[in-house]
Amino acid sequence: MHSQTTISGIVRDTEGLAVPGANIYFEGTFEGTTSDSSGIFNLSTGLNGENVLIISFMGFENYRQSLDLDTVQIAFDITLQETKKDLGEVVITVGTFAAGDESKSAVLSTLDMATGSGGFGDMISAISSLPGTSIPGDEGGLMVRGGERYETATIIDGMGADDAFTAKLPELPVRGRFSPMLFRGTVFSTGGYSAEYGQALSSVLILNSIGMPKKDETSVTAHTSGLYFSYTKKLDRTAFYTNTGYNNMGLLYAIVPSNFKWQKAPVSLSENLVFRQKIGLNGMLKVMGAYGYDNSALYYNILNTGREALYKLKNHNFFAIATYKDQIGEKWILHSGLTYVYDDLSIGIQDTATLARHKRTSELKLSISGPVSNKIHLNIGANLFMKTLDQSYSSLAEEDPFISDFRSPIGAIYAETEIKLSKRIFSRIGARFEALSLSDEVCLSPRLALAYKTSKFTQVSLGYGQFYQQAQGEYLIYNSALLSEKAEHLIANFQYNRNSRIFRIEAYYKIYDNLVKYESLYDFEASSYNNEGDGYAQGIDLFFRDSKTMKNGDFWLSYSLMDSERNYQDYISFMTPSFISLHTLSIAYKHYIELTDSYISMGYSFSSGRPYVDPNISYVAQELTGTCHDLGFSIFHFTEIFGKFTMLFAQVTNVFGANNIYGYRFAVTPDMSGIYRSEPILPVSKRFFLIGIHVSFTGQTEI
Amino acid sequence: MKIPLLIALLFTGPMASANDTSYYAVLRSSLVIADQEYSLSTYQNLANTCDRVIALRENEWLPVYYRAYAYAHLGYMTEDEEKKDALLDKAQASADAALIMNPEESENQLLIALICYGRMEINPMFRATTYFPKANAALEKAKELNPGNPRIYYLEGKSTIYKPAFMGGGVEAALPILEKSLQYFEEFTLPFDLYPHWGEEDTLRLYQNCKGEIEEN
Repeated sequence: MHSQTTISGIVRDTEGLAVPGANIYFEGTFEGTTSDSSGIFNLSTGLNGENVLIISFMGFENYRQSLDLDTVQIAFDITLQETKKDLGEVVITVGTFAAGDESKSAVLSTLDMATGSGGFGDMISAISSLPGTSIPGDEGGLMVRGGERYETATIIDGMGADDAFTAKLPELPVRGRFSPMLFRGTVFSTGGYSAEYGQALSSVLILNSIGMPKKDETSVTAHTSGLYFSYTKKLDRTAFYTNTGYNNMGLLYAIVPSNFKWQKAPVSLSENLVFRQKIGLNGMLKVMGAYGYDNSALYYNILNTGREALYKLKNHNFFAIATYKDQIGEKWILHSGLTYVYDDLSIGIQDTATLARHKRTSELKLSISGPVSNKIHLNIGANLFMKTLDQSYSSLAEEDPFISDFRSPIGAIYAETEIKLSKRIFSRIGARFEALSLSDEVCLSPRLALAYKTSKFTQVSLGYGQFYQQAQGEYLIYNSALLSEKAEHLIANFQYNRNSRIFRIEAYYKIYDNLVKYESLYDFEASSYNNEGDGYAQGIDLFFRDSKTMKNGDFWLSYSLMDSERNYQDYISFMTPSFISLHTLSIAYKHYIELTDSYISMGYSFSSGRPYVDPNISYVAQELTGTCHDLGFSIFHFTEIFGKFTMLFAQVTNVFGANNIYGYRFAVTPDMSGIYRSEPILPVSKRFFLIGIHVSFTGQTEI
Repeated sequence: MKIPLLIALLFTGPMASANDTSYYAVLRSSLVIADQEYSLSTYQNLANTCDRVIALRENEWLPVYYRAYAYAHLGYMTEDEEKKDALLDKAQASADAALIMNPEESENQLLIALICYGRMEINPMFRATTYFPKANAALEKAKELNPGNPRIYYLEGKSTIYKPAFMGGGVEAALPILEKSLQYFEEFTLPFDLYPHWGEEDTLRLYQNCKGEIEEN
């Protein structure tokens, strides 16, 4: 008695809503159907007897029911149970901004890094538009959450890159030495970072260099201040890349008046050589050598005498890095690296005094990471650093130069586990142990982070950590017994990330201890340098980015509220450091114009007044400068010239010509009338601009 | 005479399963519906059919291929980005499986390219640098495997239209590629029943659009 049986019914979820698209079938057969938009299904079958009906759909538990098909007329009302929501990957976001194109949690793209509105090709300008950073125009670099510039460590392929910024002259900003084009993924941490990284009090900027380039390429870039040539050769398992650059600010300062009196406008040369070799199945050897040379000379007003002093700067910097990464067994990763940094700086003052500083840093690192179980991931490693610095100060007044030096080996080990406590909760627990022979101390820094996925799109995270950093070389040469400076971070973060819209808010509290304090920088006595400084920083960082609402448009806003006080260096009491603004706001809008193949970018930054001490009023009370505004504008136009991919670009900062004053400099002693003479600290130029062209001779550049 | 028979059996044994067409009827009926109407329900139905077939014929390439194909298109049709990514993840998993089962098949590469385009669409600003080269590499690989596959030039032509002129894109650049695709479609014979056969209609539509646009200017 074979007959056709029809079963019908409706599929709903636990809330009674129809489930369209569900798969309804008999186990072990091809026979089945799909529920329609109302959740209704009709399934005719020639089967008879006992059969198992299965109903399945993405996101729901399978429904199974045994049926006797010989019993006719079967109608069902089926309720599917939702599977425990797949919340997606839990990633620790506390204190971290990812940039790059592959990570779903990225807040900046590679393109953003290359086209930051502050300065073409300086990725630091894109990163400094993220919240938590100060934007002091006279400092440059990355100053994070009340921290000094040196408190941010730059990490390249897991290794510390000392002197990643150009040498500093008073009142002039430093620039990043590395081109954003060398890197693919970037993580910028404003606090609470992993135990893998040490020797940084405030922040780490983690850069991962490009593995194998995609193809051969030759390109030339020329703009109003520089000329660059790059060449990439890709073979099967080997690749080679070179980039040569020449930069000269002379032409620009001839057109746009500079607020500084240059005897020789800054000239720099740079050469990068990159080599890549695949080894075996998964091994990759990365080698890079980077050489940079800077030369400039300018006059500073000596306010006491009313005369000018000529400062001449020369800096040679060489950075070499070799890393090797391979897989051990199926899941473990071995990472090893070696770096060497050579930095020679000479500052000549008025042909009467010369400061020559030779710095050598090397690092050896070995780390292993992999899963211990499917819930626990382990990362352990060790570093060995060697820092040497010798400085000689010679002046006409003294017969013999004043020579000081130190040699500091540091050994470090760290271990960190990432544990998935549940589908929603993820934790990272680690510790770093460092031994410094110079100051005869050991530092143990615990690091903790916890992420809790509150829904598919939202997450809260907490972070805590202790961070140590050896006292700066400029103090150690006078007192080598100085202890490491210490910072403690406590961070809470909330993040919402959905459909290319990101919103995050983070609150932090930071305690500084053992900061270097001294009576005067002109004191060469060891006893006048000590570790009695301390301080705090607290604030709220806000970030919002929307790359969705406007077609081809991209908007972001970042805001930082920052409160910080310190008693360190030569401060005579607790004061807010001069680089801190209470409010910092940065807004950017980027738009791709299809019709003209152009990409425009507008950026506005605002920072509230910065503190300074006016000895004419009080030695302890702080005055505030006016607010700083900067509206910048960039345009990139893509075209073809003689069949070659060409990009034309133009950039201008401070379109409205705001008179930004970063602070004031005062004479050390009052003049005859008892007044401390002063001078405002100004931007290098009121307005900066750049016009340039980039031509690629082989293939199309992938932007 | 016994030995050749044994050899014959040895060879026909696996051949028989490779040519297992018992599921063709059920797959065909869902495919025909999906070909007729481009909608969430018809493609979900195709994906469901493939799921049922795979449960019983786990070594067959064709249902795994069509499962990836169906989920890729479900991804295209879905607005919500999270859902889109989840559907493309499903498509990707099947495409990876299809590639392992049949590594020399150029159609697998086209699946990969399709999925890459879908991912790119979600956030081109962030994703173009990753997925555009990936899609290109897949198309190049497909050309190596089977240069006569017209769908390669269909996808290449389509992406050329939307690519900016400075990167070698635009309608003028796309036209000859689409023309080549159409010519190959004419010459192309399906190696077996139910072999992938999509794209011809859309190629013709794109070709006419490009032609129209060029004539207008």
